[in-house]
Amino acid sequence: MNSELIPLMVVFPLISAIILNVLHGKDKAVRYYGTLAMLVIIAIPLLTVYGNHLFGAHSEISTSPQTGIQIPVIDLAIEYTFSFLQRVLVIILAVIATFAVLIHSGEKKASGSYLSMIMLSIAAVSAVVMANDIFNMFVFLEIAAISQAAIIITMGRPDAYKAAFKYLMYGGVAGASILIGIALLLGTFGVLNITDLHNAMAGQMSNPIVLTAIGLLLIGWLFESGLFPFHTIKSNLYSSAKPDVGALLQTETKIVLIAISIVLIRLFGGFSNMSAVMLGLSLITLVFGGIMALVQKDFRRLVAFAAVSQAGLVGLSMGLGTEAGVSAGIFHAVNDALAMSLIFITIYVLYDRAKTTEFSKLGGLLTKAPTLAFLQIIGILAVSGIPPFNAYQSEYRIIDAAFSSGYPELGVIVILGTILTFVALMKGFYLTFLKENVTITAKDRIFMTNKIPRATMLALVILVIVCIGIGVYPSPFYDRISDAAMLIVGGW
Amino acid sequence: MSGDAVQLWSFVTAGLLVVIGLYAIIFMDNMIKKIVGAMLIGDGANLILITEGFKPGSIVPIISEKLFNEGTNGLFQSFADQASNSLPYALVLTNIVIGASTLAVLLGIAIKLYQRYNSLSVNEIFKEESQ
Amino acid sequence: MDKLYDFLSEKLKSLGPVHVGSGISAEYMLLAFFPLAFVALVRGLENVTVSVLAILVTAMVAFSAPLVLKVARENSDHYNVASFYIAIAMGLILMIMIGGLY
Repeated sequence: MNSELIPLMVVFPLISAIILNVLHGKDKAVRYYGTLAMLVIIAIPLLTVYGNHLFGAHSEISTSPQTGIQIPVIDLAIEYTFSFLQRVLVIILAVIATFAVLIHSGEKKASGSYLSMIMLSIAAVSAVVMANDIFNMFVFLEIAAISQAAIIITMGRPDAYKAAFKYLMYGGVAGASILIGIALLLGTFGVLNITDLHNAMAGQMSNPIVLTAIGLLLIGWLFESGLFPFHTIKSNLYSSAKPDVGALLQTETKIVLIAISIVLIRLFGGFSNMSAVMLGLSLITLVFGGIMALVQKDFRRLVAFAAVSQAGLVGLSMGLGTEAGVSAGIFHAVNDALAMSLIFITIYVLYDRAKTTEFSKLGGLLTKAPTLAFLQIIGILAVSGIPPFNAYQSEYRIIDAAFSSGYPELGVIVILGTILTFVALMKGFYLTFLKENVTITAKDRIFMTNKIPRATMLALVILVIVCIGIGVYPSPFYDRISDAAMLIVGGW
Repeated sequence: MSGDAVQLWSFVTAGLLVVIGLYAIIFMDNMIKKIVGAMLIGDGANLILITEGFKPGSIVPIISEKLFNEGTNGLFQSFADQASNSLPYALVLTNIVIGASTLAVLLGIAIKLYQRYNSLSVNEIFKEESQ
Repeated sequence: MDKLYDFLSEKLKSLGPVHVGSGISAEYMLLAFFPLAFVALVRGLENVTVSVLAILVTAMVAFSAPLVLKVARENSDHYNVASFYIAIAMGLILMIMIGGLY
């Protein structure tokens, strides 16, 4: 029984991307269509019923009646699944993308090609989340990489081009790595559907071809998630974008991290070497991301490194491989995407007014923009895992999962890493809002007002309410994520 | 050359392409050479996929009318024995399209960077980042 | 204690006048991270050996004082620096997968 609305989550943003590209240049049309399209994109996952969708071919049959050919009982179709986990991830992606689109529509000029690239990235990441076919996931990962590079190119500045160049070069390497891994699995087992691969792979863990495929898929996972050694490239990507779309980029990265980790755990679940590599590299990202955040001289780069560090924390939790670890990791990715978006959007307002985010040119803005400062401090407390905000619930569960998996030292490092993120973000807040900067000359003085545009204010208020809501009542949310994690780790 | 040797040396060639592409991405200074390296890696991956679909002495996996008439009496056994695997070729076509899109965006970026910095050397363009 | 702070702030001057404090915090974080990561990595030996080696690692980090500057330089997003670590990481991952961890 095909659920018909599932492909619409990918197809509608793709069509919108084409339409917005055609409408480029007509400001009003772009603004209206962009806003309308985003409302539809939020509505579709809310209305879709849980189920699977099979593209083309036929579902499992055993004997074709006309020719009498014995067809093995596998799905010869590309399968998309839609359950609670996919709904949550797609809705969060859609909501944060809506904020980015609304904020851009409120600016002086609305660019159709910019919004079309945002739509393309939404389509690609939705497909990555839903695809139960490993090659389809790879195709949409490449599309996501190209669209993300295109988003930051529209900034038009040289450092954006340089960041996009590095991102696409290593995106090509990582993409080819995933493809070769998929080719090795296809050659060994003959199927591409993830459920079928999982069934076919029982007892094959000592096959050197399978081990090579695991290594190559891990390299691809590291790039797509922005973990070591690709953490500097991803943080360069976030800091080269305008901060409102930087929020969308970091959300997409965390969602893709979760999606690929789930595929890796489903396929290669109990393999200890893979868990060790995932844990080790995520740990390095967590700590080095935080350390790099501390020594930055620019607020956007500081927040970009903090986002990378939190992605390391999510990767660490997924790398634990236990049910507690996987559910805590998914929960933290969702919470952190929301809280980091709050900080990114406040930095967007700062960048929009002051035209710079360097600490040497900022200072003492608390008296001029108290509302902005208040919202930013809420975001910083939310990201750092302070109750009653949402990240407290997920970080507490990650530390609990680390201790109960037999890695107490990892729990200690997680606590230290969280403190590091908090210190780095507070340093940024202090240097921007609290400390009077005596080295600013008269010509560099910034004119900052307390007025925040309506669309941005709406986005910020919604994010604050959601962060506090999940922080105070995590159960309705977390319990169902925990059920989904049980199915993943249990091998479905 | 026997069929198995064709397959073996195809895989070796594909591996060589990937290694040469990686060498170009890491060690060459010219931006265009790095882009060519990225495309070589994609080509190597495509060749691995194509070689997987190859079967020594195989026929094209399309059922002709003669085969259909033959097969409806039996179970298409001769077709199933002789046809090569057609799935990897579909994957390769998709990947070629992806590679072409990435190449287009990379070359556009290279043009813009050249217009700004008047040089194709990566050491010179990325100089101020090594602080 | 003052002399330690003066020593560190002298070495960390290149970060800029307001960033010395964060440099010192990052230094403490590295001091805490390396022994813990070492303990997480070496799980096969006895407790006493691991503790002694962890103390040695801590001492090594403490005596090469402004490690933060070297870490910041190695984590820069310059193309060649990133390529080096990416190549090493790819090689290590494939070796660990095919060859096993211990």
